Amino acid sequence: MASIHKTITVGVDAVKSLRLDPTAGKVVNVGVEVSKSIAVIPTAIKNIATSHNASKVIDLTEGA
Amino acid sequence: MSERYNITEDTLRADGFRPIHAGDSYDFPFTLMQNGGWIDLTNGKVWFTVKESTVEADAAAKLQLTSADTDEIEITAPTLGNFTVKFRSPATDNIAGLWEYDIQVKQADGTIITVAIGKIEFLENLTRSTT
Repeated sequence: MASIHKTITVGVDAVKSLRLDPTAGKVVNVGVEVSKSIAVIPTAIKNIATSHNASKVIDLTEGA
Repeated sequence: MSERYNITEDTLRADGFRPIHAGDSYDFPFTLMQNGGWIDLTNGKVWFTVKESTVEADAAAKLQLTSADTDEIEITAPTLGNFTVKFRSPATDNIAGLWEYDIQVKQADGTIITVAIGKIEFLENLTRSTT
C-alpha cells in the first residue's frame, strides 16, 4: 500500500492553527477525521493560542 | 443544557491557566457548541454577569459585561460560536472575591439561553495605579 504522509489543515478561522498529521500508512477517512476533530479543536486552541489565559468550550448538547 | 463551570483560582490552575486578578486585563475566549456544531451568534448578544447572590437585580451586579460594547465582550466569529469576554480595569478593580456568575446568550431569533453558570473568583490586587 502506498504510504500516506501529509499534513491536513482544517481551513476555517477558528481552527486555523490545528494540523492533523496522519502517520504514514494509516488509512484516513478525511470526512470522519475532520468531523471527529471538532471535539478536540478547542483543546488545541486552548493550549497554543491563548498565552496561558483561560479559554472554555461549552457544549450545550443534552447529556454532553 | 447549561454547563456548571467554576472559574476559580483552583480550577484555572488545574487546567494550566493563570488565575484572574481584579484589575487585570484578561481576555477569556469561549466557544459554544451543540450537537457537534457551533451555536450561531450572528446578530446575537452575550451577557456576562457577576453578582454576590443569584437574587440580586442586574443593577446591583458586581459586574455586567455585554457584547453591545466590543470592549467588554466581542463576538469574534459568530457562526462558530466564538466570543471573548474582556476583563479590564477599572471595571474589575474592586471585585476581588468569590461570586456567582452566568453567561446568557440571545440569538437573532430571540432565543435566550443561559449557557454557563457557576462561581467566579477574582484574586486580590494591590497596585491600583495604571499610569
